[in-house]
This record gives sequence, C-alpha cells and structure tokens, in this order.
Amino acid sequence: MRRDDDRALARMLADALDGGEPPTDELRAIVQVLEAAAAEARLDVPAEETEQALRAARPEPRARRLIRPAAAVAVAVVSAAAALLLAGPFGSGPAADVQAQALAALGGRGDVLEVVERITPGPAGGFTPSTRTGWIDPTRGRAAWVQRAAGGVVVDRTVVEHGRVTRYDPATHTAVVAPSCAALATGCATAVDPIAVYRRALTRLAATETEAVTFRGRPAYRFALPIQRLADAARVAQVVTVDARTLLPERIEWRVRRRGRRPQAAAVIDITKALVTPRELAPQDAFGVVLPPGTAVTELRATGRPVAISGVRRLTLSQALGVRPAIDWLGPVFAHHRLGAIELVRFGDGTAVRLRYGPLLVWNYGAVIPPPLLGTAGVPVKQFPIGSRTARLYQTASGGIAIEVDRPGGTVAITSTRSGQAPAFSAAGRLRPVTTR
Amino acid sequence: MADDVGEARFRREQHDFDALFRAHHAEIVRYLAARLGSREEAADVASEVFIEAWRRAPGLRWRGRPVLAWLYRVAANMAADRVSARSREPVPAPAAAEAATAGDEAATVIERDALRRALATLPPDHALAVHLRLVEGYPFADVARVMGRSVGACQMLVLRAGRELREALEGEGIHAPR
Repeated sequence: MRRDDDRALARMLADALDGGEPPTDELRAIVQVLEAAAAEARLDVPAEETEQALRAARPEPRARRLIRPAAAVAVAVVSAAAALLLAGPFGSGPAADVQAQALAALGGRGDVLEVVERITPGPAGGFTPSTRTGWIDPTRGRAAWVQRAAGGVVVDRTVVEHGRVTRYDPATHTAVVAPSCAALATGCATAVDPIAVYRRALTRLAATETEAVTFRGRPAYRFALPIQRLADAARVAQVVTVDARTLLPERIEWRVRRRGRRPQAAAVIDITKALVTPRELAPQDAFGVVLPPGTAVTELRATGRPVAISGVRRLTLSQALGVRPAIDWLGPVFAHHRLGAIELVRFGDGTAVRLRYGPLLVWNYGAVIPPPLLGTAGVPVKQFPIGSRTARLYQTASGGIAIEVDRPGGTVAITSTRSGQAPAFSAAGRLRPVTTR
Repeated sequence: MADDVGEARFRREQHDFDALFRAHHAEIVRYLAARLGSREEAADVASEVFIEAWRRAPGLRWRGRPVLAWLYRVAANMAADRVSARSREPVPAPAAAEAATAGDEAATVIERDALRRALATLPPDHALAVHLRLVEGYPFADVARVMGRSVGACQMLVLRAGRELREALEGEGIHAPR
C-alpha cells in the first residue's frame, strides 16, 4: 500500500517539478528542498574553461600522410563538395560545433554586448510588442536595458546585477529593488535578457540537430535548446536562428509548454543589434539606471513582500570576527571616533552588520540591500579608485551620501550625513577586514 | 525511430571526441563538484573522465543508452574512488560552520553548507537522478535513458532523494531552506 502511495506521490512530484502546483505540504517541502539543493549545485562552467580543458585533454594529432599537390587539390574539391552537401540549405550538421562557435561569437571574458531587441508576443504571450536597448556583461552577471513600447514611450528601465533586479517605472515614478526576478509580480521572463538566457543555455545545454536555413535572405543556422528553468521556475525552450557567417543570434523564439498541450511560442525576439565590445569601451553608465529625485523606492523580499528592518541585535567583537563572509571595519578608532555599537540588522530575507563611528555608519551586506541604503540604488554619481578596487559614490534618499565598495562575498558601504562627507571619503580607503587589533 | 536517432547520436559522439567534450564537459564538472564538494577537484577529475572516454568510447557497443550514460558511470566511479581515498586521510574540520555563529548571514552560510553536504551524501543513484532532472533540467524520459531505468523508477529516486535531503537538513535543525 505504502509503495503504491509512494508511486503516486513520485508522479505528483514529477508534475510539480514540471511547474504544477504541489498538492500536499510534504511535496511542497520536498520540491523546496530539491530546488534549493539544485540551485547550490548549478555551477557556471564557462565555455572558455571547457575549451581550455578540451585543449589540454585532446590527444596529439596523428602524423599527417603526405599528399601530392594534385591529389591535395582533388581531396580539397571533394571535401568542399561534401561540406556543401552537409551545410546546404536543407542539410544538417553537428549541433555542438555550431553551438560552441555561437558561444564564442558572443565574446570573451573581457567583452560586453550592446544589444537592440524587438520583442513580439507569440500565441502564448499576453503582452504588447516592445523594443529593448541595452547592455549585457555575461562574465560579471550584469545586464541593463530600456524597454520602449510602440511610439518610443519608455515602459521601464531595468538593471540586473548578480540576480538582483532594479526596475524604474517612469509612468508611476516608482522603482522596485528585488533580490531575484522571482520576487517580481511580472515574473522572471520580464526581468531577464533573452540573449543572457540564450548564452547561459549555450554553456549548459546541448542543442538538438542544427539545421541550415535561409533567414532574411542570408544563410543561417537554426537549433533548439532544451527547456531551461528561470529563477521563478518558469520554463522556456528556445529555438534560435544564428547568422551563418557571424554566428550571432538573429532571432530567439521562446516556447512554453503548458500541461497537456503542445509547446507554443510565447515571445519572438528579433535581435537587430548584437555588438561585441571590449568592456572598457562601454559607456560608464551602461549598467546603471538613473532614479530621478523623489522616486519612491520599494525593496522586495524573495517572496515578493516588501522589506523592512525586523530586528537589531548587538554583537561583541569576537562574534563579529566569526561572521562569514568576513566583515570590513575602520579599526577601533577612526577620525577621533571610537567604534561604537556593532549590530546585526535583520530585514526581510537579508542581514547586514552595521558598525557605528560617530556620524559614519559602515554597512556590510549581501544580496539584499539594507533599506536605509535603498535610495542609493541607481547609477553611480562618481567612481574613484581605492587601491585595486573601485568605490562608487551615491546620494541617499535622505540627502546624505553613501560610498560603496565590493568585498569578497558581498558589499560594504559607508553612509554619513552631509557634514560627514569628507571623513566618508577617507574612510573608504581605510576599510579592511575586522581583526582583534 | 527514437532508437535510430539515439543510435545515430551515439555513433557520432563515440567518434567525435571534441563534440562529446563540448556537449557534456560542463555537466560532468557540475556533477563531480556536487559529489566531491570541490569545484577544482571536479575539474581535474572531469579531465580524467574525458581522457578515459577518448581511450574507450570508440570501442563501446550500442545498448540503447547514450555515451553520456557511460560518462556518468565513469565519473561516479572516479568520484567514489576519490572520496574513499580521502576518508583514509586526516582532514581539518571545516571552519565555516564553527565560525558562523553571529546571525542570519552566518545562518545562510550554514544552510548552504548543510545543503551541499546533504547532496554529497545521497546514494549515488539518488544523487544522479536529482542532478539530471533538477540541475541539468533533463526531462524524466531522458533521465531514464541515461540511468537505464524506467521513468517511474527515476521519479521514485527523486522522491526518496527529496525526503533524504529534508531529513538531513532537519537533523541539523534546518527546516526551510532559503
């Protein structure tokens, strides 16, 4: 009996993993733990790493046989003919080769992509056509775009950085900051860039057969990438057409499969520009979003509920030393201000460690921005070097300033009132991991 | 018909080392990283797996399963050998869990650490089913082909794995992963 029950449960679990609603609390908990474990195991293995490992593992080529010149010409002609037959308009070739080249065409570790995409709904899509203009930095997990409806009206400006989404809506003069696209009511499909999703799929999923086709009058390849799960468990399969010469994507069709139905096109993304550019040549504000003064900013938890500070607890110095990732401080005294309270601040899904030095506050935090720093989300006012790192200076919603520096495993920010601006600058250069001295 | 397609792919991968490598290297690294708990060691062992594939894949016979199934079996065996060899050496206790006592940021580290450990201790067939279905996103029909089992059996493996992960986490006092 128990065995039959388990079989039925296993089938229900399979349905739930395909996007269905888990019918019992036990299954819901199992889906949750499986998804969390899978997320831990879903490491990015860059294509460059695979190519490097392949070069290292590839056996030495066998010594070539000598071919006489006449014979070489004949071999070349036959080879070319065979290649034409294989790559002709109705032929097919190994998907993996085209896939690897298509991935390489999207640039290397030092490159970013400038893109223009026209997005139109398919039969399964329930939205209006729009155009996205923006930048993608795959290596650093960043993307930013402006979305315009027909007539050029700006619908939203979105920045995604390491999964964290900041979206400004000019119509309502509001902005939302979320730790993941899963927190947005509109879901992940609206908060990921199609080329970024395509690139990720190329690094992880094997395409089916590649078909040689003609697209917009030019030779192209078309292949299908298997279903890929977005962060909110939405699933898309992609049919991609790439230019045969540049191997850059020309069209990406997102297909969704609803239970018991055939896959249907949800969106057709025509890429009218995909320009690989060295990162240093991208505009300084390419990955920012300007939040005009007075913008109402709401931060969401992973569940989609707003974030608020839910508790503050004092820490001893030895407790602060035990926090991982290690936190930064300014030493026991800075600018005649002794280290005051060290506090663990809880807010929504996140925590921060806050250290007080008179008018200065030092915030150490992870993916979720502490609410008092929310006004700082947006394009940096100024960037300046600190040692080997870059600090970003922002204006906070309350009129003070914040200087933010990335640290291993998170971010550290210094906030101050206007009168404390000068110490904040020099403080940024004195940040270092907390020690007992 | 599906078998013909499967066999054609098997033959191609068997003789095209570069294509085999490019198609499956990343997923073998991810699988090994979960089994070994080390990204660097996983990359090393994955290279050994593919060197073995270069030596032996051309001699494999088609038995209705893709070359990928063979790659996973070799990877699982190599991972088991490494874990077994490691258990005979003294290793310092991981510092993260001990040091992380000062709040939720630390608690997140503990939870993630516990998840990784729980995943690494799953029985090999449970871990492979979870990896193929949830990490790589293969449909259960493909999971069944790679594992050489029925779809129902693979669904059962994932159910059991989910229960084991839950129990392992609850045993450490963690009731709801973030």
